[in-house]
Amino acid sequence: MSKQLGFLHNSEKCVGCRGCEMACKNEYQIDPIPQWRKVFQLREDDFSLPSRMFISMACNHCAHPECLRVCPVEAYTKRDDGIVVHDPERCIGCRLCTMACPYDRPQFNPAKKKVEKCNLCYQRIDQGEKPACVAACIPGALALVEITTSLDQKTGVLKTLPGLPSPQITTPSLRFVGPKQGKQIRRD
Amino acid sequence: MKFFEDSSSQALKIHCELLLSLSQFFAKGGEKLPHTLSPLLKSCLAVDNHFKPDQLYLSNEVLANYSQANGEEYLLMLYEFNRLFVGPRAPVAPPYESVHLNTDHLVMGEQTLTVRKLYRRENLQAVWQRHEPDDFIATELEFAAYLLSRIIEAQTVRNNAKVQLYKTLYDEFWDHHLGLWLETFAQLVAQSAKHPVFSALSSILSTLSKLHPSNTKEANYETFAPQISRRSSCCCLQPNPIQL
Amino acid sequence: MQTFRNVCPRNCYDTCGMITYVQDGVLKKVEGDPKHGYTNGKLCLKGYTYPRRVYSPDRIKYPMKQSPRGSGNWTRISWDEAIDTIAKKILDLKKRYGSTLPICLDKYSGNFGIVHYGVEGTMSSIGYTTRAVGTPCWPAGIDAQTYDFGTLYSNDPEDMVNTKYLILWGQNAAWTAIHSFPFINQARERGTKLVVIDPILTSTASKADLYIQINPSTDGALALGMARYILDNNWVDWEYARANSLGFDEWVNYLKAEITLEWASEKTGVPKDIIMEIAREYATTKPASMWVGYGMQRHTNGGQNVRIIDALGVMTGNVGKSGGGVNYGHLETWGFNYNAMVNSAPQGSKGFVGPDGKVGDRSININNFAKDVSAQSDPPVKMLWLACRNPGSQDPDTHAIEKMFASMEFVVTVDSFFNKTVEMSDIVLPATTHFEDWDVMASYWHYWVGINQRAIDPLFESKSDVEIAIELSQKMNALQPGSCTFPTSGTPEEWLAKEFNPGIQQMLGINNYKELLNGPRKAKIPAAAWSDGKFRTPSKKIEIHSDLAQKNGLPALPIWVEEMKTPEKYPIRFMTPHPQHALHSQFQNLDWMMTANPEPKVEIHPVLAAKYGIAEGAMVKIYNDLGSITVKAHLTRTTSPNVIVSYESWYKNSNFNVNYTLKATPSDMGKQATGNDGLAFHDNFVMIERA
Repeated sequence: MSKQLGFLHNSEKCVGCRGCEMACKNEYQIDPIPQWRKVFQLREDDFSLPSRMFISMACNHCAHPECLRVCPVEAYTKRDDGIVVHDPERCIGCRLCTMACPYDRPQFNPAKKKVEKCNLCYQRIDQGEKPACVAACIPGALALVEITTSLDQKTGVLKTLPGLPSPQITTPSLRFVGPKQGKQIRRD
Repeated sequence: MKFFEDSSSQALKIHCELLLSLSQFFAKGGEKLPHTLSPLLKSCLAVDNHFKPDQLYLSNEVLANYSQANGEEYLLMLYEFNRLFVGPRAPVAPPYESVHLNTDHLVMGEQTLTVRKLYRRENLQAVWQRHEPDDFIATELEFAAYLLSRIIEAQTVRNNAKVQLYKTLYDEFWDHHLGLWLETFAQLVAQSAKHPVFSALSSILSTLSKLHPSNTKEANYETFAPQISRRSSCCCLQPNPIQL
Repeated sequence: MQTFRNVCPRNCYDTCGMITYVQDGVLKKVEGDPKHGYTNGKLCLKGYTYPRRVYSPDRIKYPMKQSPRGSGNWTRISWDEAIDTIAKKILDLKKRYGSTLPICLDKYSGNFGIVHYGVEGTMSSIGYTTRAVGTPCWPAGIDAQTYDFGTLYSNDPEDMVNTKYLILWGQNAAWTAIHSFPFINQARERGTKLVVIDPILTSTASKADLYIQINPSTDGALALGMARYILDNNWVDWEYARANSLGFDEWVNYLKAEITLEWASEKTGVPKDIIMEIAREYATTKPASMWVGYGMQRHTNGGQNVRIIDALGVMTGNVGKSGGGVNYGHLETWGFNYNAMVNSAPQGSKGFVGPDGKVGDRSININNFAKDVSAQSDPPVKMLWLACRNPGSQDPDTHAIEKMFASMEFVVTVDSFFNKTVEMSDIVLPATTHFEDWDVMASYWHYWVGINQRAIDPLFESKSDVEIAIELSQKMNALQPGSCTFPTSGTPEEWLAKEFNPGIQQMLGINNYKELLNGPRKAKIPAAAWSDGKFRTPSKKIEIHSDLAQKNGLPALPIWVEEMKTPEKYPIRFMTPHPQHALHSQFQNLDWMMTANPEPKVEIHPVLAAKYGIAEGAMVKIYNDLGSITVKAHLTRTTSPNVIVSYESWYKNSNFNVNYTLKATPSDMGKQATGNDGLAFHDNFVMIERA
């Protein structure tokens, strides 16, 4: 692998508008049920003050992808740039990957009876374009990044957030800038 | 006995009449059931007589019963027709191929455009192309009937190559389109129907499904499609004004 | 693959430019229009779901009639029969009552495209009719700005990059104006402080440097407290205030005599030192901007609160400045011909004689729709026409709406989906989506205007409102020559072309409307509203003292007016702000949206929930003397212990409707500029219990 592409999500900028979720669905005209990218609200109690904080997660294109490991028909491959691609032609819909992924990101499509997931818009990347979600993000909270030690050494860049599975399981190619909370004058 | 096991002109005509009367049933809508129910019954009786499919006679009895109904009963059937297939509430069984075969369950899907191309190959187009989905059940049924009528024509003039061609085209259309969703559609109607006529309809559609052999052959298309003269009972397809 | 230019025609600040991709006459996907300088090539979550709307098998396809109304027995009819039935009903009512006043139109913002004013035009062309007048959304604030400045007029939102201090007052841009965020963020990167004042800790509030959870309906008190502190510290821009306004000193005297920080703090629940902090920061940071949201004025004292905030802007010299302003909205870019709307009544039409002796339409209050319609006599209202409006879902007091509808002789609704209003209609006519229409769209927030092309042919038998009007006119004149003046010719594009005039063309820098096909245009007006100092009040100055307000029975000055008191029997405030996943009753019913947001919730503070034994996910009955609803509870500390929150919307296959509990309580202002006072949606009080 010559590099590892991934996502950087900035909860400080993210307002949970879900534009990224729907832009992804719009790009591929995905069926109603699968959500390749999903916006999650972080638990209020995990932070010092309650507020509405979000992360947006698609596939994490892990360095050690469990999906790839458990797939009985080799429907997953990892590209040289680190993107984990799912091939629907090979997929038999056994759903082992949906059980293995700690982040629950492969989506079983009950109509097609196969799994599908975010492929980091590799078709767009190969054309020099940004992934649809990144291009659609209005507050600029989502970025396509190369996971490198220098990125990890930047101040404020986190490997995980409260409530998420340990990054040690699959080494996800996902980085965060954690939510910032301002001062609150509350009535409770 | 299944369709095409007996490919006599008589058998094909009976088959064709069933397709056409079903097409009219859907095309003319619930408002015209007094006109479309009897022809449907007639064609089903002929099918029953010739092919003797399981249980069809039961549905025929229901149709016979209700085709004699009074105005009030026809109104009930009309409301049920609209509830199942039209609206304004979300129809229970939208009668469009792409809604059933395309996993996104929308109209004007991939299948809609594919059948549009198949019609165009025969110099035909759906009468309300671009406004109504080309894969409306009535249009597909009429197209299937059209293909059968070509076989019958070819048989009459003993053009064996043409007979084979249109049999292949019919199989292609049935195996890749109409035949693929008819049973699902029938089941949906069976599950939701609140009026016996529509339960009967669902059985008729299932019967139609089962009477087809399940072959999948690739069509080998050659140009055999001049401008057609349409039968007066058709209403969903028209000659394509645009020359390819 | 063809591309077309479209503009989202919804009632939304952002009114996004869109590019639509069409292949073989089928809409394949949508994208934002990169040439739009405010929406910059991006849509919101709702915009991306448009293909699901266009091709939903749920869509109303044909004209249909229900016999009888409310029975669920629907028959498909031809357009000819539909129009014939409608025309005959209109003529019948005209004959029986001597006028077309028994026909009432309720139309609002389902589609804000300019050509859609053809709906009003339809009514004008048949005679004088009863009209639901006013606006439910924002009239109190409009009147406030009308009394103060002459009209509502906000800075270019792109100008927010220049502000050094930003207060979002009862405004949730994250959900209702997401495209403003990049501009706000740019300012913040340069050190601008963001203050959000809101009873609910929204997504927007979660981004604030300072979030103030104010006592609902007391925003005016906070502003007065700030004003007093600013006055005491002489941070007043006396020069600006005195040169540009009337009554400033009078108001200053009021502050001195009546307002203290202690009072403001007690009223609002905001600590004194915080009031002092934001007062100092707002007054001394130059320039400072305030964005007043519509939620903030949905109280009985909403208009007055906006007047006070306006005065705060004037006193600090922030009005008329780039990076400043008391920004609420504007209508500067809406100067079209409204050709589709303007039709004269047929000769000999009898109408309503107004107090000035002029004959015209009879107006009723859109915000008291059910009761007002039922109250009309001489002649009574017998027929309703609904278009771009869904009172069955969106109006207060749903039970009253249901009752009123049931009392009508005839109801016609034009719509795309089977909602509550359609359910209560005799005839439903299938509406086109904006992809199937030619239109032009302006925004009440940004300064861009865009053309909307017909990208695909109308699906099934749907028609645009102008096409419906043309058919009605043809039929009515065939039945009774001269009974309808609506022109009966013109393609949809021709109708669009007729909306343009030299004024709007000059403002956009175009010579022909077709130039908009190359991209939306920004109005050539200054970025800062009121920078020319040409106020549009009777005195041509800012009227801190407004004789006009006084004439209308309101305080002349921006003084404090008491908020609605919490009734003893219903001590919990039930706020029903705008949802994220819908725009009122549009979008939530679509399949992608039902996956993303499957069911409604009510947000309850854990302390309140514990009091009533309500656990997370439990069903809660919310009720008052008007009605009740049952919703699933979500416990959160983003609301306060006596405020519960549920977002108004219409879910597919659900009878969820917050309006069953909502009284048509008027807000204090709206009559002056919009014809009727607004609605105090957020002054709704209830009780709860475990269901």
